[in-house]
Amino acid sequence: MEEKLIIGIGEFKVAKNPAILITLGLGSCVGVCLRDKKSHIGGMIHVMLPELKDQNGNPTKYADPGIKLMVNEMIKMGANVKDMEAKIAGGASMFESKGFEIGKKNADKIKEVLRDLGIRILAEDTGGNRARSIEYKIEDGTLMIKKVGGKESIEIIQI
Amino acid sequence: MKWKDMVNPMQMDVLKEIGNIGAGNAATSLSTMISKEVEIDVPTVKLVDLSELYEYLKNPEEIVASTIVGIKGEAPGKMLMNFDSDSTKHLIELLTGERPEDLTNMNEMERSVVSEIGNIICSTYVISLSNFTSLFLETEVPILLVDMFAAIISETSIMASKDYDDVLMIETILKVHNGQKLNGFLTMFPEPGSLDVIFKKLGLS
Repeated sequence: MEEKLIIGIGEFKVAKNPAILITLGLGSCVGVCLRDKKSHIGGMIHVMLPELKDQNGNPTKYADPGIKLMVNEMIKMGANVKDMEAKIAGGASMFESKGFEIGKKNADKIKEVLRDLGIRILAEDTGGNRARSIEYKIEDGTLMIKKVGGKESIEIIQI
Repeated sequence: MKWKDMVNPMQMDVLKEIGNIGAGNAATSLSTMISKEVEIDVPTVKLVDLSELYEYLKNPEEIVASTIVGIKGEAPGKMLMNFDSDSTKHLIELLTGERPEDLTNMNEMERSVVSEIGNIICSTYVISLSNFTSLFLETEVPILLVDMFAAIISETSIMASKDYDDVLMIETILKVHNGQKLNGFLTMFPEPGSLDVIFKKLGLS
């Protein structure tokens, strides 16, 4: 039985297979899921904002440097950056108001950080206006995404 | 940055009192709209770490209907009026005579009813805050969202105070007793500079 780890807002967790990483209620926030496909070490970060500007802030809330901190943690556990792959989900704009496009900015920054690290994004489900909850299986890298669908149901997709 | 390090216990009490005045008036306006008695719980001021928000919300994936009203003026922030699915349907039924089947597929009329109820409650709250503090405050156009509770709360808090690592919520539960339960969760999220303005105006800083 896999261990289920819940990642809070602005946090990350890393784990070795077997484990399922979960985060809930991603609006403009983005869940970044990484795994080393050889050593089966994985991690998930719940990114709230693109970039840390104030040094007093909590670094794991931000794509930069949060993702790098998570990658370092994974390396410490024995993972290799060159074997890492990524999936991302989130970055919705729940409020259709102008000027609040944090979701898109988050996703863009995340892609930039991953590109700089040389980590390929295998799949993504970003944008739109609905919140997401996600579950990432370290073993095979499947990412299950839940959104509120019609008839108050939960719509599930897998990427 | 954390609210926790910035607000002292006496200021917390003041925020509670603000919540009390705001929610009291908001309850009266809801009561007038639906012609039913509305009760409020004693408001509480909650400081919750972002990373602990899921545990705090108990049912973070619950589908809810929330009206978000921005506060502009001297002490900006956000107001959020949140009703669970059953309560939202019940409110619509009270006001239109028909109970909607599906919150995720409301018609124009139903959306407008929910949004207007939220708007009136939030605006009443803001007006009483404005009167109490003699600060100039106005409300923005309401936004109605039907989605997961945790996402709505975290999204609203990011809009109000994105650089903070915890959430400051001045919250009240509104209840209507008429056979069917009706629970609402009314919360104010101040922006960082706003508390200073409010405390200064009340001679507390």
